[in-house]
Amino acid sequence: MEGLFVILVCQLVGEIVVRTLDLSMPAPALGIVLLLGYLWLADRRTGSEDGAAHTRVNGVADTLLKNLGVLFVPLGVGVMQNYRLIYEYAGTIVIAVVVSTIVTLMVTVGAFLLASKLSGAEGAGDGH
Amino acid sequence: MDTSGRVFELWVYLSTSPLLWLTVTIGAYIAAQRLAAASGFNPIVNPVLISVALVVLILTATGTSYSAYFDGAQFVHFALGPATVALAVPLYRNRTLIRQNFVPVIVALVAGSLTAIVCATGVALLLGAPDSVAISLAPKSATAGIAVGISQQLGGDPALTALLVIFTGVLGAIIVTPLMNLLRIKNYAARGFAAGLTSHGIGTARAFQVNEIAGTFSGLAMALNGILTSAIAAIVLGLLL
Repeated sequence: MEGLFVILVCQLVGEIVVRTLDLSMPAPALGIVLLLGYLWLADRRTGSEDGAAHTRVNGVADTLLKNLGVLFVPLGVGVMQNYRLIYEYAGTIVIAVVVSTIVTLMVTVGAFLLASKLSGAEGAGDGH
Repeated sequence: MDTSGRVFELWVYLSTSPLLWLTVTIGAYIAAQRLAAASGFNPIVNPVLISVALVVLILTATGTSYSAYFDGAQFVHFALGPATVALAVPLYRNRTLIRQNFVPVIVALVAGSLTAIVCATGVALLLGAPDSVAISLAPKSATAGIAVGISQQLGGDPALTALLVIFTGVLGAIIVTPLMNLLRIKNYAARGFAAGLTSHGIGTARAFQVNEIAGTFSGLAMALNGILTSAIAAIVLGLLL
């Protein structure tokens, strides 16, 4: 229960900050950063890695993430409300998604390999 | 009263109660997961896509409105926020991995995140799509909980974005392995990172099937790209539109 509470508080604080400062970023994204801060602080305080604070949060987080798929379903079903927009621009949407998916995969993998080669030259063993 | 009258009365009651549609949502997902398992987890047989189709079919057949459905489904929908926040946990767990690969991770993150937004939006605008469609496309490589929030805040169509997120996830999961083999890339950290950045949770599930290292890097990329996309989408779109 405490793990769920911590996660909800992070989201709630995220929501308050986003609304107060009128940020154009979703509250859960800020919530990730806040939860990272909580875990880091918890480690600092106990002086141990992955202590009791982690055990509390980890169980809830793993359960939520394991069932992430089902959480998309209500949103996906919402598409039945405006199928016209999709019909009208189906060709454009499919081309945009296909092109950007292929290009993004290639750019990302290329950038990763290039950067590891360049930084690897400094002698930092980046493994793998 | 005859039997059909009673059945009708019961239906009228149940079809407007949250319980029925909450149960249908979870039931459809379990059925879709069984189908995915039966296919040997082929990425084309995506449980999210199948359960959305199943639910839409049921709602259309019974003449149920989306708002009546959402009264029940909102209890599932609500958990999307906390589930997104929970991404911090695997991110923190793998902090040593990030530290060891700091330069490639940051470079690939920035390059990939920008490419995903600019490329999707750019192609749509070039083909004459209206701004609302282009905005809905922009965050589609980010995980759903974040992408939908961005779309909503910037004037896109959240439901369309949700579908585009799933579409991008499924497509990336299908093409990542053949594409990387074609390019002869053997670095599984790099392959996984590209899968997670492009195709979020669906790509990550696929990456874990291929290789443990690929899966871990994919999960990192998903969480990092969610944060970065939410920070830069508004700025990049401001320059493009």
